[in-house]
Formats: sequence, structure tokens, C-alpha cells
Amino acid sequence: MSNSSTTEQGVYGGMHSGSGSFAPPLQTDKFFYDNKIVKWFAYATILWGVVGMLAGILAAFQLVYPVLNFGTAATTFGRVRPVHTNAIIFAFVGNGIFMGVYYSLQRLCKARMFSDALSKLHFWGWQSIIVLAAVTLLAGFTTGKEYAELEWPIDILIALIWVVFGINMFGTILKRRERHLYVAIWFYIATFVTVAMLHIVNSFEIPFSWIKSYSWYAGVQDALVQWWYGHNAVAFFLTTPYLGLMYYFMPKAANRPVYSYRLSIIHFWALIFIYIWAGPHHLLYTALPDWAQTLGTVFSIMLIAPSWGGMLNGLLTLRGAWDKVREEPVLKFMVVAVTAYGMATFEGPMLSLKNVNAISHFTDWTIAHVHVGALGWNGFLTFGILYYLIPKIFRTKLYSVKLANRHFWIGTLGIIFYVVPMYWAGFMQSLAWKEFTPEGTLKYQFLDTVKQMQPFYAMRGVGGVLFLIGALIMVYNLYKTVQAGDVLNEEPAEAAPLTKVFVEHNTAHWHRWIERRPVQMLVFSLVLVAIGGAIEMIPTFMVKSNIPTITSVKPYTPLELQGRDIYIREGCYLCHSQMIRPFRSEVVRYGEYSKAGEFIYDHPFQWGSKRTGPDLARIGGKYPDSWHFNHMYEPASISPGTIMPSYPWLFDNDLDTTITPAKIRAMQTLGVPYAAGYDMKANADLMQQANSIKDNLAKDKITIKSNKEIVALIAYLQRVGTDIKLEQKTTSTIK
Amino acid sequence: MRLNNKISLTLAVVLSLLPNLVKAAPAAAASAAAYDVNMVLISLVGLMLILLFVIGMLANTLRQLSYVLKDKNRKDKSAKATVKALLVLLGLTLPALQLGAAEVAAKADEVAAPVSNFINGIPKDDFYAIMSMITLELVVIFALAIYIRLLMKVISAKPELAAAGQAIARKSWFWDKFNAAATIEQEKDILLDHNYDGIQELDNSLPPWWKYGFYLTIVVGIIYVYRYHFSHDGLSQQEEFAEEMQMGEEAKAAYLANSANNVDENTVTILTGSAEIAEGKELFSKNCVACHLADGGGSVGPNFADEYWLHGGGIKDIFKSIKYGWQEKGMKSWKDDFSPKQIQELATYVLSFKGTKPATPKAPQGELYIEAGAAPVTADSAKAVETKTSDTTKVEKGK
Repeated sequence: MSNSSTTEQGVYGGMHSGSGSFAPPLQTDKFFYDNKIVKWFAYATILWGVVGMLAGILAAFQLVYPVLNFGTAATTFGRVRPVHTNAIIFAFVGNGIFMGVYYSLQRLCKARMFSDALSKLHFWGWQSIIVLAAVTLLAGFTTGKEYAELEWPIDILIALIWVVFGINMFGTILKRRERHLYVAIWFYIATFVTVAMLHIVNSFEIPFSWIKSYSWYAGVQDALVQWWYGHNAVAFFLTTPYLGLMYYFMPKAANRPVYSYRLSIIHFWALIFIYIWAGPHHLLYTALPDWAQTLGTVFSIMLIAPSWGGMLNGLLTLRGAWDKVREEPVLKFMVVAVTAYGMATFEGPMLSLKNVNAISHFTDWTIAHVHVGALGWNGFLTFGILYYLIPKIFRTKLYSVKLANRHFWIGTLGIIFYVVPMYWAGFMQSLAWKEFTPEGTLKYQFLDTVKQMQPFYAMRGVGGVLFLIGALIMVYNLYKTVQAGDVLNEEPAEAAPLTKVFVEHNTAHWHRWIERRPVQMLVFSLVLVAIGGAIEMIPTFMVKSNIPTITSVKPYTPLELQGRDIYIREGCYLCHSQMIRPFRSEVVRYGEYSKAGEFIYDHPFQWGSKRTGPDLARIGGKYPDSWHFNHMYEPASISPGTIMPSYPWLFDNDLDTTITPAKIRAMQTLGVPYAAGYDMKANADLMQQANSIKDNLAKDKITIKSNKEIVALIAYLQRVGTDIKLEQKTTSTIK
Repeated sequence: MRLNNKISLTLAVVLSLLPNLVKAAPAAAASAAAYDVNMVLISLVGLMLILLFVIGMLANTLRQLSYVLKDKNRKDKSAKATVKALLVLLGLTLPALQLGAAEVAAKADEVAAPVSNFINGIPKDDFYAIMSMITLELVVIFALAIYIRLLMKVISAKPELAAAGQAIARKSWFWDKFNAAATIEQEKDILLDHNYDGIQELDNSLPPWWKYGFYLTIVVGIIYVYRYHFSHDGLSQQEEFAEEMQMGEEAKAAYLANSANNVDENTVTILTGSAEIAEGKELFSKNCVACHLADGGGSVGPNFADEYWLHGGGIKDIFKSIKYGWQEKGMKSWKDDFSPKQIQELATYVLSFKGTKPATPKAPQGELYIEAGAAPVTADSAKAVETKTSDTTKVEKGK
């Protein structure tokens, strides 16, 4: 840990006053960097990282041993999984971003953070969002849109705290003592504006209670907006801020100049412009219009080079410093992180090719892909930064380089143990789903393929455990470092203020112009990232032919609507898709492929992204009510060997009918054609339908009160995908 | 002399590889067009190219090392002779190796031809061509590695040469050239006057492969859009689907035409083989027990042990019930899950419950069935089947 510290210690600014174009400073300002806030964010990163990984391990083993769902609502996979993803993305990586930004921004701007009060507000605001998120998700309050699951009050809080972060960051930039913005700050600015845009647009929803809401968009449009968001959350929450961090911490740790300034410029602008367009590659072969799918594919292909620009600039910065990589754990972690980034960003475009996507989509291949990014890129870069920062802030050496090396190897093994079985599993399962016998029937029942997955799921869990063990070793190592160290909360620094007059070299690069103008950079970034989304969304919303009307598609009955909300609450969409792609294997297995017009009343859409269980788009009418009843109570009694958890609480909970009118009114606001005044009649219809299901179950010797939640869920499941079956009958008879 | 060596080496490598390259390339292209996208083929060709790339790197290193000997040690005739001998040897062995590989491939072709013309969906000729190419490349890599090792030994025997060799190895570092990077020594010339908290920036040019790669992806993107949305050479997903369904139906029809499996509700008979009944039991326990119970006593579905049947109790009736289902009563159609033979086995097994005593028998449903020949297949149900299978395309057109 010793080699990189030399450039930092000693006189700030004085050592590096090599810029010939500046007027010689008359006097320097003395000020302090705020290390305390960095320290807090670092602790939060570590804490939530461990929590998020634990949730992930629980979820992983739930797929091997369903008994680990513990039979209670809050501990069931459908609620644990969003806690895992949200904790890793927004709590672990989120705090990691703030930690790195607060540390590097101050030093790159030669200024203390704009406002200590805002820093504190930001910190505590973000941590309370995380706690609220965990509590509400486990309680079943979810919007049902992946990685945007948090409900409307928390959405508003996120927007507010994000703006606090933005003001604090921008304030610091505006009062900087460094004329030009370094490439890391370009990435921070783009991150800020784009995440704000994504979050606000995707979170348009209409509340019907103090905590619950329906998505503003429906069906195909909701899917497009959601994956525009989902894809770019990966881009602008997991990628661009971390590229910024890489641009600061990697050259610092290696003590080498950044490889190519020109490459930084071109890859930064190309990356933020192109990334935004690629969202539809999550919806290939779905009911999304063909032209939008094509844009998703094409821009994904064009994304390879801009993504790799970051990797190259990182790895080539280490030229002449590879001997240090062998010695220095910080650099080791960073090299693997950047390599994982390169692999994931090459694989991503490959997965966006339609013929590859036809195999990979809905399988664990995708899970492997995102974990190369999450464990490798985000995880390892965060670890590298922590190993760099903590000794600096505590003015000491890392407690044990040996332990850090152990962490490195165990973590790397963990990644390999995680992703290799998942790649294998995904590929195998997909091929099994598609395999026909010569007689033209499907070779495997869905359940057969699920059983084949068990060993792979177990191995993946072991990989996760290894990764966590590595992280715990780091916790211990950093704890000992903190104990041995002497904290420097207020780090003294010195720099000359900017002069009013500035004369640029004649020979200076044209891009220097915008590097002096943070506001222009912000505006220009926003314009650039707004283009892709606008071009994809506006026609999908405005042009009628993109979503052809199917007359037989009717709004949900009140009971079905209630059942649908239970479906969303229990996170069914995390394992079951509702999107039959136009493939022979899927049409034979599930039924007629899904049409855009079927989803116009689906607020939110429930297409899903993973088939741990079979697709449910045509589940309606496939089995009797009693089948669903028994299956939800104890899935293994109907499907021996299944890994689906049981849902006993649905049989005890009474359906909350007091909220039915509010739900109907919210849907009416969104344009769902219930008759005027229907909100007050809805519960009568609801009870009638519930009683008919009750009677139907009684025929199969099942006794249940009609006001239980399970009745509503059965009503919904029996409805899904049946509208178009009616249509088929009609067309057949006409013909 | 020096030039000659260089040329002979380059020619030896290139010439030895050329014939196979030329042969493999159109083969790969042809098979890709004819057999859709074959992942095995793509990965094999990819591997082939990567190995070729490695050969290029190794050959370059070998070339550089040979300069060390010649330039720095003109007087040392023995070393020169060694290099020369090595290079000549190299030039001679490569084509020989290639011939050998081609012969092996040809032999393999002859032997295996009558059995099948495809391996992993790749025509046999192409498969062996590619495999022999890969083998050959591996041999070349191995040979180059040995030569480099030998050369390094010769060089390191002389201390003054060793230093020069290392310097060259460093200077000619492949990646620097590949990326058009300034060498570490030249870096000070391209160091910009940027300084951010001690971080400086170099002004290296864009790596050419990266830059042209970027252009290439843009061109590919434009071609993609043109193919799918303007020239319509690329099929839309609906067209792809129609084609896939048609191919599936054709393959199925072709198979069934020549198969004992060709049994339907009009021709089905009770099976008597114990293996077939065991097969039926296996299928039943995997798929049917949820609703009918393992002893056939019925829960969601009816009791099979009694004399009463909702839809007829003859083998033909049961075959029909399994094949087409009774959707409104919760019995799904199993025709896409099971082959006709399997349905026959299942129906036979279902009949074997008759007269047994289930643990919790469901009350009789339907009518008393008296064996008098199964009810004939009505015209209605046959028609319903027809319309059902052709729905897919109709709905599309209807919209």
C-alpha cells in the first residue's frame, strides 16, 4: 500500500503546478477536504454490501431447497430477490458511488464539498431510503417493475435526495480551483442527469393508496419504458459512475498517466449517446414492434467500441506498471474489475443478437452475465477503492496485504464458481426447452428441466458464499486498519483560486472548451441522452399501428384486478414470464404467442425476464380452479420436485375489498374503460365472481371462504391470456 | 542474406497456411447459409482465427529474435548458421505437416462418409477441413514455440546478446504496435500539461483496431437495418415463426409417415406388452397423479376404477380424452407433450385401473359404460382439431 501514497502526501498543488498556461498564482487558499463523509459512505458501502450478498445467498439456496422460504410471506423468494437486487444496486454500489465521488471530486476540483449540511442530508437520506426499501419490499409493497420496485413515496424521496446530491456535486464543481474538469467528472455529471431522467420518467405512476400505485404506462409501452430504464440503470448507475471512479483511482493507485486523453473524449460521448438506445434488446422476440427491437440490437452492436474504450484506457494506463500489479492488491482488484467490465460489455452486444438472444433470454445465462458485471466490475472495483481509501483516510498502511491477497483469490474463485455453472445451466436449459422428439412433441416437461438445474443452482450458491467470505475477510482487514490508524477527518489542502482571465493555448485540444464549462456539459449531456429514448418512445406511444387493437381484450374484473395485485405483491414475475415468443417450442409448450394488443390494460406489464418456472401468459383455463388451489398451497403436491415456494398466507388473509373502488378509479384515470360510476358497483361484481369460484372449488371437495386472497389470485390466473383464445374461436367459426 | 531469411520465413508460414484458409473460408460461408446459424461452426472458425493470430504474434517474435543474432553478432558464424538452419528447417517442416494433416482428414472422410454427412450440423468435409486446420495451427504454434525457445537459448548463451534480446523483446512488444502506442521512453513527448490531483494524461492516438472496429460496428448496424427493414432479406419474427412451424410440421409428417408411431383415435388398440404398460405407468406417475391420484381413485379428476365414465371408457375414448383434453373441465390436451405411442401406453394403463380398489375413491361421475366398441370419432371433434391447429396464422391475418 505504500507506493501510491507518495504523490498525495506533502504539499497539495505546489508539486503539480505544471500548467504553463495559467497566470502564476498570487496567493493560495487553505482549506480542508471532508474525509468524514467519505468514511461514512465507505462504512455504508461495506454494511449494505454484506447485507445484499447475504440476501443473494439466501435467494440462491431457496432455489435449491424450497424449505428455506420458511413459509412466511416476507422470507419468500419473490420478496427476497428484489431486496437482493435493490440492496446490491442502490445500497452497495450506490454508496460506493457516493464514497468514490465525494473523495475524488473534492481533490479533482481542489475544493471542499459545497455544503456539509447537504452532504449529511444526502448520506442520511440515502440510508433511510435503503431501510424503507428493505422494509416495504419485504412487506410486499412493490410496483412490479424490476429494479424500480420501490413505491411512489420512496420514489419521491429518491428524486429529492438525488437532487440534493446533484446540488452538492454541482456546487462543488462551480466553486472549484481547477480550471478544467477531469474525465471522471464528465462521467459524474452524465450519471447525475441521466439517472434523474430515467428515474422520473419510469416512475410515473398513479397512487391509489398512501403506499401503492399503478404504473402510468401499460403493456408494450410500459415494457419499453421499463427496459429503457432497466438497461440504462445498468449503464448510468453501475457503469458510468464507476468508469469515473476508475479514471480517478486507477491512475492514482498505479501512479501512471492516463493512457489517452483523446480516447477518453471519444469513448465518453459515444458511450452516453449510444447506451440509451439499447434498452429494447431486453425485449427481443416479444410483442415490441420490430423496428424498436432492431434499434436495440443495432445500437448494442455499436456499443462495443465505446464500452471497450473505457477498458482500454484503464488497462493501458497500467503500461509500465504491471510489476506493481503483482505487488499491490488495490491494482489487482482493479485489473480484474476492468477485465470483467470488458467481458461483460462484449457479451452484452452478443446477447443482443437475435439468434443468441433466442437461446439466452429467460435463462440463467442472463444471470451469469449480470454477475460478471456486478461481482467482477462493481464488486472488485469497490473493493479496490476501499483498500485504497481507508488506509489513506486513517493515515496508516493496510493491516495485512496477505489477507487482501487472500480476499482477491477467494473472490475471484467465487466469481468463477458463480458464473460458470450459470452459463452452463442457462445454455443447457434453453436447449432442453427447445428440443423436440421426432414425433414432433416436446422432449422435456418444464419441470424436468427445472430438476436438471438443481446442481448448478447449488454450485452458484457456493460461488456466492465464497465471494461473501472474501468480503468478510476485507471487513476484518479494514477493521484492523481502522483500529491501527489515526483518522484524518479534515485533510488540509492548499490551492490557488481560479483567476478571472484565462487564455487558452492555441494548440490546446478543442474539447478543452467544454471542460471549462460544467453547465454546458450538463445540458449537452442531457440533450444527448434524451435523444435515444425519445426516438424510441414517442412513436410507440403515438403511432397506433405499433399496438394493433384486439377487440376481444377487455379490462380485468374487480376480482381479477385484486388477484393481479397479489400476483405482483408476491413477485411472481421474478420467476414466471408472461410473454410467449413466436417460436415453435414456446407455442407448442404454452400456446399462441403473445400479441401487443393483449396487454393494453396491464398497468404495470408483467412480461418478466426470467423463467425459473414456466411462462404463464396462457395459464388461464389450462387447469381447474382446484389445481391452482392445491398448487398454491403446496406446489410439490401437484408437481413433485418443484422448487416453487408455497403460499399458505393467501389462504388465511382476507382480501381487502375496501380499496377496490380506489383501484377502479385509478384505472379509469389511466384510461381503462370501466363504465362511469363502476367503482361503487365493483365490489358487488367482485363478490359474485368470488362466490362462483368458491362453488366451483366446492365441487372438488374444497372448502374456502370466498373472501380469501387465494380466490382473487385464482380469478386472475384463470383470466391471464384468455382474451385472445376467445378471439381464436371467433375467427375459426367465422371462417 | 538477411532479407532472404526474412522472406523465406514469412513465405513458409503464409504459404503453408494459405491452401487451408482458402478451402475453409467458402466452406464455412456455404454451410452457414444452408444450415442457419450454427454455434459450433462459429466457435470453431473463431478458434481457428484466434490461433492464426497467435501464430502471427509468435512468428513476429521469432523474426525479431533472429535479427538480434544477425545484427549484433555478425562475426559469430556458428550462431548465424544455427539460425539459418532453424529457419530452413521451419520452412520445410510446415508444408510437410500440413500434408500429413490433410491426408488424415481425407482418410477420415472416406471412412465415415456412408454413415452421416453431418457432424454437429456441419457438413463432414467442412468439419474435417476446419478440424485439420485447427490441428495444424496447434502444431505450428508448438513448433514456433520450440524454435523460439531454441533461439532464446542460443542468444542467452552470449551475455551481451541477452541484453540486446531483452531490449528488443521489450521494444517490439506486440500490444504497443497493435495499439499504436507510444513507447514508455517516448511518453514524455506526448504528455499533456493536464494535472488533476497529480493525475496526468498522455495523448496516445486511438488504437487503430479499436477505431476501425468502431467504424465496422456502425457499418454492420446500417447493413442490419437495411436488411431487415428495407431490402427485407432478413425475415421478420412472424415470418421466421411461420417458417419454423412449417419446417417442424414437415419433419414430423416425414417421420410419422415411416413410423409405427402412426396411431390415432381411430386405430388405437389396447397394448399387451408389459414394457409398454410399465412405460404408461411411468408417464402416469409423472404427469397425471396430481389430479387422478397414483391409484386412479381421482381427486380433481374422475375415478378410473369404477364403471362410470364422463367421456366414454373404451381405449379409443380415453385416447381421445388424453389427446385433445376436456379444456372446460380442466383436462388439458396432451398431444403436444406426448407422442401418439405414449398416449396409447397411457390409455392402456388407465384401463388397467378397472376393478381395483383405490384408497379414497371419488364418487362415480358420468354414465355407466358398457364395453361395446368405443364411440366413433365424430365429425365435429375432428373439425375442431383442424381449426385449432391452423389458428395461429389466421389470428395474425385477422389483425
